[in-house]
Amino acid sequence: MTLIQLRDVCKFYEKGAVQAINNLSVTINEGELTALMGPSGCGKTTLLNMIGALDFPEHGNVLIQGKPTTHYRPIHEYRARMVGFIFQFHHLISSLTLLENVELPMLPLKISAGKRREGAAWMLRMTGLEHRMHFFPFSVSGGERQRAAIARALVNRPRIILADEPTGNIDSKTGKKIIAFLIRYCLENKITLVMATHNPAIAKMAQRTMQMRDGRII
Amino acid sequence: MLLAIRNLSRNKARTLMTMTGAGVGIALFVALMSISSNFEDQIKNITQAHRIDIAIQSKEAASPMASRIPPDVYTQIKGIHGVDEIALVLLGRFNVPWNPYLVVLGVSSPDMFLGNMSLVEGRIPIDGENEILIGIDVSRIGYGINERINLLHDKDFSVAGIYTSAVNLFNATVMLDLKTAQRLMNRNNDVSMVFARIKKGHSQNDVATSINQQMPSLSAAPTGEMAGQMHMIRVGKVSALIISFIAIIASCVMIINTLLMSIAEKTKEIGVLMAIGWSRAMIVKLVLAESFFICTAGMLMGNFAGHFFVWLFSYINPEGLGWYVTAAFHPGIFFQTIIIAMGLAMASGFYPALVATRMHPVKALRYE
Repeated sequence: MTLIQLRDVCKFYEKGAVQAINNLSVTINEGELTALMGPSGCGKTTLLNMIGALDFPEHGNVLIQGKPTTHYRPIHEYRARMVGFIFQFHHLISSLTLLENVELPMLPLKISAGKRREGAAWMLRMTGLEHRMHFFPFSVSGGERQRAAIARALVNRPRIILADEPTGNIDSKTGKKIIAFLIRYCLENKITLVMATHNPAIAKMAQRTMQMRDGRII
Repeated sequence: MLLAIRNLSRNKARTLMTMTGAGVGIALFVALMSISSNFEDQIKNITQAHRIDIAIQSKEAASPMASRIPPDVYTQIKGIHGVDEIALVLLGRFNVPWNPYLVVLGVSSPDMFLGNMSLVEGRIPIDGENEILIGIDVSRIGYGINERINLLHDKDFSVAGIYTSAVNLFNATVMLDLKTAQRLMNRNNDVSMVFARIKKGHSQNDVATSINQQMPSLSAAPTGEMAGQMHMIRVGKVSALIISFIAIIASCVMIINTLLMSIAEKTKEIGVLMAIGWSRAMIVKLVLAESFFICTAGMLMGNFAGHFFVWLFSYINPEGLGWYVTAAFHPGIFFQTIIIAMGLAMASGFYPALVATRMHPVKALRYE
């Protein structure tokens, strides 16, 4: 069943001087694990941002479950419920512990404090960080930070995980382990994964690989 | 809330400086309002402590010190329906070596005035003997019974007694009989104020209204309202409010600046929060919570500092003015500072919150 559909999508930056996405059409099915590959600046992050409704196309439509992202109201609820973001540089909030960081996406959903804590702790246990829950991001390793970022992305049980170079900032061995966990988790829970990566070994772990160049899929 | 507190604790020195900035504005408000409120309370207490029902002064006078009531006017007051007895008071300010603002009271009836004060030493002066009573604060300078005080040129007075009053303002005054005071101040037979006691079964308001209607040159008020009607006190309060308002505006600008810097530093984090589903309203709440914590801490610091400075002022006693100031906690002023702090938090947090919510999540995430 189609979950994500992009129809003739164009996206420009710098007042039209830079075309990040060039008339792109693609369909991604529910539960599918997709790797996006391509050189820097080819539009991978822009594509992820548009699926995650952080950005919107100038032309064309990004449809999620057949509905354009521009029609989801309020848009923050779409981001909180449907999507989980994993960034290259973990982007954990340095003044909060790993547990508190993982609780953050549950705040917009008005989940009680007890259930938030319970959910975040469970997710951290799933990612093997039960012994680091009360640590601050600066006092754990890069791999642990990225695992906490994955826990944060998964904690609301989203339908889509958007991962932008999730292993770009950690060593390849740790990176592979993390991606293996992420893929296993997505397969078990029928979560759709769209992952931008430069690493062919990581891309091979996905079910489908799409090559991008100059804002198009080739 | 937790995130707001943690955000503030990231740069402790900056947060503390900003809280202090907010505290300075509030401290100024607390100090100035405490001084004017204490003064007002003391005026109220003077009249209430002496069982005086109605205070009368000339209508155009900005303060009792400037009031002049001639004898043909004050003699008529006793004849007004409901008035039982009256006491005449002449107020003057003397510049003596130990106090440039020494308040001298000439009273027609020391008994009526001394009703709720106690003589700690000596006796009531004998009329026409150039004797005076001094407040306990004046005695502390080194004046004792039978010692002589020079009030004006060659006008020496012998200290007959020392009194103490629960009203601080009184403890820094000297008191002498009305006739002597009128001679000393060249006031012929004029007085500054008339205090009236009313007969049983009459209302203060009704008698005061009768006096105002029958004697248009006078302003009579029940003693509880007297302080509020004094032009001088009103001017003092308005001035205090204006100065405090300017200081609070300066605090507001300082908090806005700190919050804007803090938001600029957290641009990427705001992008992350938006990406994980935080609404703009939640971002606004986060910024306002930071502003709220700064202002609440500033309010507490300001209250403490404001009262401390009032106490310091009364302790150091510059130019003798400290005698008329008492460092007392006013729940009303504290409540006002809570409202000011909340208003300050809203006003200071609004623009930074607007800046934070206007961020584009993608641009915020790319911010370096």
